[in-house]
Amino acid sequence: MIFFREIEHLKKKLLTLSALVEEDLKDALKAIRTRDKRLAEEVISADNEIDSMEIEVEEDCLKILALHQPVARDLRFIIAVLKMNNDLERIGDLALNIAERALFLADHREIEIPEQISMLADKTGTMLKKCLDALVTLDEKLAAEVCALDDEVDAIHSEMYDFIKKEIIRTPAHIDGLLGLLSVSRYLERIADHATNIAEDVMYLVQGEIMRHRL
Amino acid sequence: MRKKRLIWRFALPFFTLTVAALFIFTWYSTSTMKERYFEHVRVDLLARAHLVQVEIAELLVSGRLAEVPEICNRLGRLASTRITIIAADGTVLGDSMEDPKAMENHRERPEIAEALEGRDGNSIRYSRTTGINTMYAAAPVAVDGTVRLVIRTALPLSSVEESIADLRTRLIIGGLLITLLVAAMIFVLARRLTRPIDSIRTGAEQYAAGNLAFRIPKDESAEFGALADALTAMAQQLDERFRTIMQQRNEQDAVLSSMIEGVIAIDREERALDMNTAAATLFGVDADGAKGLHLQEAVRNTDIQRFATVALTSPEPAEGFMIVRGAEDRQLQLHGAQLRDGSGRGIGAVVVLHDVTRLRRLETLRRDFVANVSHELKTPVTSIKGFVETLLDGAADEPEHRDRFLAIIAKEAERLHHIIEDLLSLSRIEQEGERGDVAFESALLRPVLESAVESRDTMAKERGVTVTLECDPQIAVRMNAHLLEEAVSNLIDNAVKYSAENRTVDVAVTVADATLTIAVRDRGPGIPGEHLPRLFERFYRVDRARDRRSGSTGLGLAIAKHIVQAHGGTIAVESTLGEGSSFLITLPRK
Repeated sequence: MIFFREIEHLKKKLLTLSALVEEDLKDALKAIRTRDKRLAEEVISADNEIDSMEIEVEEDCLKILALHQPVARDLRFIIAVLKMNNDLERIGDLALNIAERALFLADHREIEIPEQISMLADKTGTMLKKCLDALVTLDEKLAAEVCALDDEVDAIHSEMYDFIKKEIIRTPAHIDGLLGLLSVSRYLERIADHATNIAEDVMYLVQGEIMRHRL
Repeated sequence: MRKKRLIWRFALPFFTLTVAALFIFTWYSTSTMKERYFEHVRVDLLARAHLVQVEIAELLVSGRLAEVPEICNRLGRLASTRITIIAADGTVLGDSMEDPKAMENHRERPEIAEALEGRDGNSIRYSRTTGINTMYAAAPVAVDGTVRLVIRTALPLSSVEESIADLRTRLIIGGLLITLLVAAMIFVLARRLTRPIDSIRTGAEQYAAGNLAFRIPKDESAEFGALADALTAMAQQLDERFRTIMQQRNEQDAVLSSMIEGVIAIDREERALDMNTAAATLFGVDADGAKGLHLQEAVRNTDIQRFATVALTSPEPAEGFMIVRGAEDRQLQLHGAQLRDGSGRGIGAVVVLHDVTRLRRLETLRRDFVANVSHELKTPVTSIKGFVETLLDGAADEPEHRDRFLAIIAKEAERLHHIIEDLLSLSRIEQEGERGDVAFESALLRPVLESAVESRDTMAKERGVTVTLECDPQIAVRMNAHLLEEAVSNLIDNAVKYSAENRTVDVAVTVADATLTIAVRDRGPGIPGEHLPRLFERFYRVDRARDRRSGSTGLGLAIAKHIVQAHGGTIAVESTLGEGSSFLITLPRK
């Protein structure tokens, strides 16, 4: 196959993977909100597909690297895809973890889902959406927005931590469920971090400069 | 590469041809002239030599050779010709211009050599004596068959050559003039020829730039005139075609964008060729921005991507189903078919997305309704049946049981009655609302609300709940007073039932420009968010056990909703857990 077509093909595959991951996260968050066990199970079973796609993408990258020895922009693209691939797979795993918490929380209806979780879910969902949009359109401004959102997510997560601490003191009987909630919050925070990584990779792809750890 | 201008392409050959013709003509005419002239001089010189021959022959016969130089001089002067007499051995005997003794032996000169053989000879040579190009003619003088003397006449050719050079100069000047004339003519002709071509080119460029209204100026020549006309006609036709195409495109766009179903057309590489507004809205993307992108880039949804692959590859029309997750899930029925060009080759696929969310929900509603009605009716009937059987089995004879059972039977019968009553009024309101049979009249709102509050007064007092009413007595609205009162009292009924003791239920009316809102607010436990969308469905209960205990039929809110809808208004609910709920009836004021 021609080099150009292989790159196109790889891009399509990465986008499909990102769509899968995004849908998974959306479903997992919805499962938390609506305490929908069936949806949570769907997310858990969909993880296999994400894993196998990740391997496919990685193999494609290696194949292109070995066969065509791309340079300049194309090389940056392949490197960025390799890294994003990794991040996407991690997000998929975290979505699976959230779905597992959702299964657990569905059986503990006495624990209310606090507002912070849905705020976190919204923010993280937006970040993932924006960083993928930035990937599709190669828009560095959008990618920069994602990086800015990360701080807000971190703030909400630490707020959540305090909240759970107080709740545990108030109702020690609910400790399992509350710790589950805290896990969900932490997973979301980690997802936001991965989304930030993807955004930085998009910036790298566009500018050719490594933007990580900059102030 | 710079292209040669047309003018050079035919000016140059013409020009070369003219110059060559002139050159050949000049050369040919001058050389012919020269030849004729030379021939003439030769004949003349020979004739003179022959004239001298007679006299010299006499001298030879009489042996007076000593007179030769003197005769030469005399004759030479008379004939303005140089005359030389040479002996057979080549010695010059006499010359009209030189001293014969000083001259060398002439035997080797070509004309002399020829004459010595007995023939007339001649040659053109550069004369060593005079230093001028000269023509020589020689005639032999023979005695008894032996050449004894040779008479040579000579004439310088300088004047001949001068006149020929003069002729050549004239011819060349004339030729140059003709050449200039020809060049000027070619230039004018070429301009004439290229000007219409230029104007046609300008026209063609305008057409190419899309200015089809441009008209090429008429040209007088038949060929270019016809060409310009043909181009103009072509432009008009193109213009017309473009208009038709644009119109068809606009129509197609209008049809596509006003369709409720989403339509996505993709090519064989899964690039979005076209996407209508409905499809773009469904996936939350920008329809124009999506065109030309891969489906994976344009729409981040794996279900539609998978379906697109199926639609592209399957020869039969494909069908599928998917759910688009979002704030509100949309259930989509998918239809896909291959797109084929004129020759039947697959060029892509078209996917139609049919939003069946409402349809599915209605189906569920109907199914649930039948199940609910049966269930709601079955509970009291089972109870009545059970107690009646117990009574028949002998309990009727035990007064204390009998009265309690009869009371239960009465209560359950009453409940059945309520349910059926509510169902009937629901279907009546629905039918009347659909047919527009509901009688509306403009009336004051406050009395209606007052009687609604009053109707639930006893119940509120029993539960220690206060119902407050806040309504401007001047407000009038077009309504069916009886129905609206029923709707509001249903809401108050609910509010009172769910209020804790010693709390208040507020009924308040607010007026906006075109609408007025009746709010019924309680301070109960609130309703969990997931129940809100389905609250107004028939028999929908948040807490099944509790509701039925409270004697609710599960139809109150459904009735209220249908009444409000018959009024052209809307009903909504806002609820916060732990704080209470507000039901809002919004009615149009006109």
